[in-house]
Amino acid sequence: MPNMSDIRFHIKSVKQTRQITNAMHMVSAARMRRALDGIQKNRAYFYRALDIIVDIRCHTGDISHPYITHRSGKKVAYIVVAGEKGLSGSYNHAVLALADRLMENQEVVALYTIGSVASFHYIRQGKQPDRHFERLAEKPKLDQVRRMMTILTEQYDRGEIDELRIVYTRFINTLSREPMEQKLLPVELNDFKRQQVAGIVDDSYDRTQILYDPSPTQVLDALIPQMLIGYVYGAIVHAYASENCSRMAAMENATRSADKMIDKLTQQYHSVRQLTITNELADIIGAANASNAAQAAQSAYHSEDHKR
Amino acid sequence: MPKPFPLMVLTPEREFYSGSAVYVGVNTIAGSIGVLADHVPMVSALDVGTLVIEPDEGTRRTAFHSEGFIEVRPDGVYILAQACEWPEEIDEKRALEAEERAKERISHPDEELNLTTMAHSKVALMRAMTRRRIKSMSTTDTK
Repeated sequence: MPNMSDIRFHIKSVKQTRQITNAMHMVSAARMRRALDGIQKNRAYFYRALDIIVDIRCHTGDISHPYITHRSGKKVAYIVVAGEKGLSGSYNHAVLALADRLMENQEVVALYTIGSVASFHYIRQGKQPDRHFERLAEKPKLDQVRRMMTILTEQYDRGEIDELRIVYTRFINTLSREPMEQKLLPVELNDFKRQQVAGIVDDSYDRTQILYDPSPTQVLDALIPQMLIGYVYGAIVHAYASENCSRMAAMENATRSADKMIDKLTQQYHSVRQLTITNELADIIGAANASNAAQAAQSAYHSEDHKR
Repeated sequence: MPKPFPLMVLTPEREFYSGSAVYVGVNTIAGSIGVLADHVPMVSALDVGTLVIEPDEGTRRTAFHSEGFIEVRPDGVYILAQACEWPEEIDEKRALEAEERAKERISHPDEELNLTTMAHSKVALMRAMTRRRIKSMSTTDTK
């Protein structure tokens, strides 16, 4: 049986933990809302860029572009996006497990990580990431994404990599998120998942009449890298929202269990306290009885003495 | 009285401008263009430059825009850029630092210099200089 001061100490420590988890829950909730706002904005940008690229491809015949044509090589580079911190439920584990599974049978020549959890995951496996971008997972910044994509597209241009893929967590809603992989280079226009209902063709005007200034090829040249930057930025924002959402749920659970535990401990504390009191009373009564008995015995003995 | 048209300026980070305008001007890779209502449908890529918006006749606002694209549709004009900033949002100190950094890189090329890094430095220089120009333009306007 634990003693009272042990339980009291335990309750205190659980209360402190609860305070922390509760605070983290609030913070993640606020951050998630901010990230959701970002997702909305980014979606508009990305889909418009994608629409224009599809338009150009549809209406101006065959245009080949180094970023669209496939290469026979098998050298794959991966970008893995995970969190900056732990304590976010299954978020980090899920995305890293997917990345591991995907990389198993491929010739991975370069590995880029965003978020220190991802970096440490690979360092522990003995694979030093070729480059890691810290703090980007916590505060997605467009110019940093641009710098990163410049490095990667240059590698692609030089032929050091034949494919560029990204593994991140897609935010679906506050209750569900899904780790997923997306091929970035070469660009496959069809496999970018659309959230809007597909098949709605905008027929409001004749799209073959669009004027491309100065030429469709040049517009495409300028647009593809921008679309990629937009996508990667979006992916990071998605990951950020997912991380915070996951953490929010985890912390909510933790707070709830802490409450339960405090209840249980308090009950235990009371029963131990009661038991101690009972024991003390029993002791006192026992002692009193004993002393009474002793007195009675003594007086009996003395009275016998008198008789003699 | 010029005809107004819907204009939307978006960046991946935010909605920069949304509303009607009578004129909008941007710098495309082919040169600077101005768009009025009923323009022919057009798509072009943007260079770094000055975004000029006239919400109605007589008022004129300038802003900074970096690479992106413009889409002119019958139902409105969409401008999507990597970054857009009003003059009051431009961080002049940061732009100046970036300008000096880029100049440094261009004048003292590294050993492993290649054309792409040179081009990037030039774009960075362009960005910084345009930002500063727009900033200084707006400060002289208000005085």
